[in-house]
Amino acid sequence: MKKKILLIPLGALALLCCFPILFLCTGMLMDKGELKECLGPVLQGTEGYVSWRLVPRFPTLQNVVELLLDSPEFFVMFWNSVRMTAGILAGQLLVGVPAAWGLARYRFRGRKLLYTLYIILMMMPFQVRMLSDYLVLDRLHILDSHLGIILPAAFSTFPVFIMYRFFGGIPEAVIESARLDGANALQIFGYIGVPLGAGGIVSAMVLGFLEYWNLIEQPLTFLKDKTLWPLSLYLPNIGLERAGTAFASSAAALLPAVFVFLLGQDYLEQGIAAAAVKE
Amino acid sequence: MKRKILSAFAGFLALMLLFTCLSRAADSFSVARVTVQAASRKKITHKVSGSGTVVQNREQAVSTLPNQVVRAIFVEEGQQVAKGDLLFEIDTGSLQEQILEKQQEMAIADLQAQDRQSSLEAQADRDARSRSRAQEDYSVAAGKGNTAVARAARELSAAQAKLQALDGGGDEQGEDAVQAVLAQACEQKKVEYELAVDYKEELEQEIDELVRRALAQAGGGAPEQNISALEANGRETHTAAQTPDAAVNTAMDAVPIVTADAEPIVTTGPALNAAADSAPASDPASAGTGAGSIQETPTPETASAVQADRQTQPAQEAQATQQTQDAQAMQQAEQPGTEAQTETQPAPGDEDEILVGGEDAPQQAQDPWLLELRIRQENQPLLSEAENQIRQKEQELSDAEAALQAYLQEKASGTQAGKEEMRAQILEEIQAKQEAYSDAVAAAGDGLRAAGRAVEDASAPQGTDSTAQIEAIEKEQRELQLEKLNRLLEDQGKVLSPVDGTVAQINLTTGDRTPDGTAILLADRASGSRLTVQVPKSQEAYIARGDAVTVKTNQKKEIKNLAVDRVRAAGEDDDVLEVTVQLPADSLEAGTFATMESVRSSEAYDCCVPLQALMEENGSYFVYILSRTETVLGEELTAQRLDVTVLEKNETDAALQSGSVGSDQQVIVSSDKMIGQGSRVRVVD
Repeated sequence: MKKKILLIPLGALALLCCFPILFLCTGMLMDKGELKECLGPVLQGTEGYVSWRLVPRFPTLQNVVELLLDSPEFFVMFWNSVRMTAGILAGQLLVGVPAAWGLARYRFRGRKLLYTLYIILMMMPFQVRMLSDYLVLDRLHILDSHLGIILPAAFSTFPVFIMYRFFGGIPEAVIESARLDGANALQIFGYIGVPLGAGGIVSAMVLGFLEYWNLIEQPLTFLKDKTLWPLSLYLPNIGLERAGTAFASSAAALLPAVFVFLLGQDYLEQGIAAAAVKE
Repeated sequence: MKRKILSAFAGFLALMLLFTCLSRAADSFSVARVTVQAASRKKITHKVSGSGTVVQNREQAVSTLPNQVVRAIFVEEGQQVAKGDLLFEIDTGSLQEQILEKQQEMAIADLQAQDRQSSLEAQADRDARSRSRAQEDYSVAAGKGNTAVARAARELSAAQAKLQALDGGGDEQGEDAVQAVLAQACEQKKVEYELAVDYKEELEQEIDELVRRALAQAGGGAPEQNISALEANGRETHTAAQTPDAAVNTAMDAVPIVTADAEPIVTTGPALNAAADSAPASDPASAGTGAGSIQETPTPETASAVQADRQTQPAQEAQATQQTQDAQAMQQAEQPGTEAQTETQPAPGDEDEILVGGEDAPQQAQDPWLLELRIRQENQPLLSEAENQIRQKEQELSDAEAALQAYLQEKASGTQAGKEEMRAQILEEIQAKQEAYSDAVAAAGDGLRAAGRAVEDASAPQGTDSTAQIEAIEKEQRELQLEKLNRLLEDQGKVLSPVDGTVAQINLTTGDRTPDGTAILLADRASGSRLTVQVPKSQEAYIARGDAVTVKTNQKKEIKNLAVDRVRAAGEDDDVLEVTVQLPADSLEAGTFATMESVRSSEAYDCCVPLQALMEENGSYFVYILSRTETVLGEELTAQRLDVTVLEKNETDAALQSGSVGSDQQVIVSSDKMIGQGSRVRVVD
């Protein structure tokens, strides 16, 4: 009973949080005249305040059709985003998982120092690394290409930190018994470590996807060629004339994130919990 | 569950892939495909062309006499003929008939002219006769009128004189006055008579003297001295002759007045006419100074003179009448007083005699007796005249004395009627005479006026008559026509081509009659031909006199380097110009369809674009140029509007202000879709 009573204010708060999503869906179905009427004060400088309604007066799919059929650039950017995100996540899998296994399972000199360094790097915001990143990428001649975005992100410290927690949580006895059964180090990593640390890996991947799908600063800084731009840079280009398309594209951009979230929802919570636990 | 979500995610991505392809396809479909071209340096050429038919510069009309029967035509339209070629032939039979007809017409006209001439002459004769008769009638009327008036005047003055004499002799003194006047007249006549006798004697003496001198001179005298002496003598004689004239003058005053009055009546018909017309209205007293007035005679002023002369009246009257009649007969304007004439006549006689004597002097020297006889014979008229005078004066003297005697007898008999009764009778008589006189004057005036009008009518001008000249002209025309007919007959009715040319038009039909105007129209080949074409008025600026043109025909014949001869508006049509090109002789035949082409090129412009690249909006020109922009889809081409200034353009190109379009800029020349500012385009080759 007590729980039910709590549900009401919590539901109201949840609805409030969902409001931008509703906003997005409603706007996607509005026609141009209605959008102009509602958004005119902020986008065109006309008198009054921005108003909004939950159900469009004249619902239309015109904006969706326009986006899907008349905006080839949207798809270019969508696939750019897909490519970059996929590349980054693949890189993190290849590099981050063994790195986290090594840090968690092996005792070697300077391990603590290295881990601390990882933590420090993880804490640094992008702005701090921007110039050095730019110079390095320029030297490597991978500026103005997707590789320039993917490589730095693939070696990100954050997924290592998340997975380190999961690998570190595997009992020593399990690994000892496997070694006794004659398993070598690679077999122990492949057959014992990855399956047991899968929650950490997935959780790191989901968090990584959400981060890199919405990447703005790096592409804006390192990519001159507009054909390489990700979807996150498509939206700021839209004015009132294409507000409807903007809502539709926003909705379209939202969908992959929703799917990934739904897929990795369980592991994501574990991952966030793991990140919160200090050794 | 996870599997479902995963498959949904995969489906979403597949859907996105599908729409990627679809939107790409839609995009490539919507983008305009354009062709581009860079601005280039070239000349703007203006080509003016038009088609028309070649016509000859000069046409020659061949005509013959109208109304001739055409026997045969030997040419047809478009045929080339040489000078002297037979064109057509006239029927000579009908030609001969016409000649005969013309000749007969001319003969008739000649006869008519002759008839007219003779009738004209007869008419002229009649007119002349009636004119002379009218003149004659006029003279007779004037003479008659004058005589009647003069007679009436004399009778009137006689009656008035009687009245005055009666009034003057009312008492004893008056009786005496009459007697005294009569006696005085007698005295005067006597003196005159004596003077006449003296004159005759003097004359005789002079003649004797003359004879004597002539005889002496015949012996060796100087004739000139003789003459001068005679001249002086003559003058003395003349002076002496005038003295009695002055003496008689007072008594004769009335007579000259009558004479002077009578004269104008005779000599100047129209003048008297006018005087007679105005006579009844004019006052007798105020007309006293007018010598031409008939009524002047009986005025009181003259009557006083008459009164003093009343005893000599009968004699003078007779003389005056004689003088008047003489004057009338002679129709002389100048006539001295009767007495003066009588007295002065000897003077010219003297001079005649002197001249004769002077001239004859050398001859007389030969025979003195013959000389004397001759002088005396020659002076005989003078002498006889003087004798006549003496006789006349004698007669007058006796008349005057008779009058005085009659008066004295009458007085002595004492049988005269009562004075009042007599006065009344005389007054009645005067009244009657006055009326008679007025009637005579009026009758004379009427007669003269009628006669004058008859003269005027007879000599009235007749209207001009140009029939003779007209007939002459008509005759000339007939002769000319006849000559033409004859000439045609001489040529056997054949009409030949006068020039080398092309038959342009035939207005004849075999068997019909020839028209009045052109029979056959020939295009003269030697004078060349011209091509006239029509071009739109909008091309006026690109064609002018002197421009080089090329003329082409359908037969691929091409004549280059011809010049435009004339450009002008084509009649009433404002949108069309007529361009004429002179073609060289024998180049193209008349009637050939040909095309003219003239190309005029401008200076070279740096920035020329094809005309279809040029757009116009609200009177200003612009072009679209290609603009490359980097977009998400890669390098994209868009159309950018560029406003330009057009310097010149023709049907294909437009010259823009230099620098309007950069050398690296591509101008969109054509597009398969409507494009606007910022339209995405795709270049196709």
